[in-house]
Amino acid sequence: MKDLMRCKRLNEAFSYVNDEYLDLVELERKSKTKGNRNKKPLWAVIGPVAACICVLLLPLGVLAAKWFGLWDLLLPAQDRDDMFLTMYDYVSSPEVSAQREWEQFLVGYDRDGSVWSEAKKNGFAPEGREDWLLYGVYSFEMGEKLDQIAEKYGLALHTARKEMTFKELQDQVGGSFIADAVIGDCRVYENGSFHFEGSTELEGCGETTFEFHCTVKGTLDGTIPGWGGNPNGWEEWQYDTACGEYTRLSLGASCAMILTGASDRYLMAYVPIGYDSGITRENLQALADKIDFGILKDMQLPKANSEAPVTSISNETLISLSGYMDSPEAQALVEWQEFLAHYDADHKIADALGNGVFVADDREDWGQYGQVYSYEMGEKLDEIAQKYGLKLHTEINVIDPDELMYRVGGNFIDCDFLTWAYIYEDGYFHVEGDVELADHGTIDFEFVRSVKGTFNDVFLNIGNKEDYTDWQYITSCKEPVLLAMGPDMGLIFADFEECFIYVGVTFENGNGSTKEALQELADRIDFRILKDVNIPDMRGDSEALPEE
Amino acid sequence: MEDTEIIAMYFERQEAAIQETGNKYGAYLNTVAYNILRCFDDTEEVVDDTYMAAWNKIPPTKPNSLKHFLSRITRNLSFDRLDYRNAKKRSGLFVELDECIPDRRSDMELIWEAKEIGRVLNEFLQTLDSKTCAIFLARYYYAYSVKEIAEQYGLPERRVKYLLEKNRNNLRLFFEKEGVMI
Repeated sequence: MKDLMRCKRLNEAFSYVNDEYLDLVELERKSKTKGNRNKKPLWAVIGPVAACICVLLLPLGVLAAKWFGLWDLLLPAQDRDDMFLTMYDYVSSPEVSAQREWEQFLVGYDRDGSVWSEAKKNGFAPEGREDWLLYGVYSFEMGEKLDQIAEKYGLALHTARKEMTFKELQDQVGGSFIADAVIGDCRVYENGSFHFEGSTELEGCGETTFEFHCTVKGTLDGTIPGWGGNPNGWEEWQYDTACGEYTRLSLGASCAMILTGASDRYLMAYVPIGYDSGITRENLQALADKIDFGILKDMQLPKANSEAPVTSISNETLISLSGYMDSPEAQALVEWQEFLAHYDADHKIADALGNGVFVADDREDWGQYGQVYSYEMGEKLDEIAQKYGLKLHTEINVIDPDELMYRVGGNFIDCDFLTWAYIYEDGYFHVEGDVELADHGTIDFEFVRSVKGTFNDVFLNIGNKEDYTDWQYITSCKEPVLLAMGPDMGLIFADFEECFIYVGVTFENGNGSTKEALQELADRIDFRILKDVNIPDMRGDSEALPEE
Repeated sequence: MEDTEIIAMYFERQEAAIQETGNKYGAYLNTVAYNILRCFDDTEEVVDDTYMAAWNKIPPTKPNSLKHFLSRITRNLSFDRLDYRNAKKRSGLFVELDECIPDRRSDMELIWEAKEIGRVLNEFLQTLDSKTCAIFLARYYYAYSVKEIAEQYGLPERRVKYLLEKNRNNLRLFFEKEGVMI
């Protein structure tokens, strides 16, 4: 209770939040997650801002065709076998029209959430129509409407989707096609359509988020942005990118688009902010220059196979966060992962459990390992732990940063921001934060301390290890660490007698300063406080402040 | 029924307006109230009170968005109810003293102040991307729990906590920059 009255006053101010922002709460939720809530990585949750704008501004979208004037904007036909494109072509395409109609239906459907509640309670599993689930369908009525829209526009529905890393996607399409950007996981569909979210630095705008969509024609996509902004304010122009590819650029008040394509696909980069937020023509052109549309126009489309695992992760891409490979902790992790890879391959046991949670009354420690959902698995966990002389975690607390410092024995990092942390009974903890580095701006980091002698099931996929360079470094507190720099990740490892520390950061590589940045981050950490593990005072979760 | 029709019924003083409001927004208002109160009995009473408040306010008020007009009433009433519930747990002395304090909502100065803070809050929300803005308001306007938000937006709970914590911090800095004293 820092100051109840002040919190109340702030709480009252929330009553004056504009309607448009309140609408976002529902729109973002509806367009992104209904009926398909599992395993959505942050970056894979695409869609959306643009789709919402598309829905909100449907009438404007229709008007837009007139505002822009098809005739003024049609491209010269000469030597452009890659077709189109004006915004009008795009907005009036069957794919976008169907998308718009579907989004419009979603906004009006189940306004009180009762159908959703019912589906959540009883489950919704349309046998033989699993394709509906790719569109967030959670009732037969929705599925039938989806079918109806697809039929009306002569489009097929997606049948499979696979998530993969950006590197895997680039390998499939035949090369690197975006420079100087941080890219999240990608969603690839059975017909080769894909999309992902990324961010890049644009001069004067700072770190700018964008979505990229490759939409193969003939299918109702479900994610592509439509049309947004006030058509009066839109500006559209032709631009030949640095790699010599023709594009159409559109800049509106609240979003911007880069559009091109080939005869069988649309290619689009969508920026969810427009000139109201400071994006300029030059910014948009700079973004277009970072994308090699040539590769994308000619590429062999990637494929998602529904039978394939969601991501294929080879052993060499995974690293243990509990110790080096010869440590019992890492060896136990490998054995556990091998067991998981073959256990319940037909999902019968998991399916039988349904949405329920496996609880072994007498073995609460198994509950600390989220992957355990049967006695057989728990017993295997025991067996592996015993084989390598390890204990299992028994208790976890969720605590605020100050409490973390208390429990580990002091302030171990000089940073600008720390999230709440979770800490186990042996002193293992995980926390995230921000730190502002000289010449490198603010970066996010993840910090994990594993305590030796306990089994941890956490690992990290770093992509291809061949892409990393590593070096030894002595930090300012005179502790030796191993640093590794990959294409878009920096890693810090410190191996001590009682614990193993991992710090991961994500940032852009190639500007020559990242190595120094990583070293600077390592210097900000006082490993002396962490290397000797204090058994933490497990006095429960921290209490949230009133404003939380 | 369209909002404009429902509002017209209020203006014509047709009691059916309340029923139509309930038909259209009852479930939504229940959610708003329940998220704050976490108690079905109180929720029901607050939503009933919301209808009465709407009846008293329309006319002369003609809301642009009936939905959000109602949600604001429900939200305020829910927090009032929560205060009342908490007050009952406080010592008798506090409860007695509380009776000496004038009704805050009739204090124009405080209302003006809340509006001013609200104005700056809107400016802050404008700086957020849509998803972050939605998550922030899901928590601080609609009072959804972190777990519920994580489920609704398909994000890990950890990520939701991170976003909330980071943006609370950013809001504080924004207030400081704008010279807002709370």
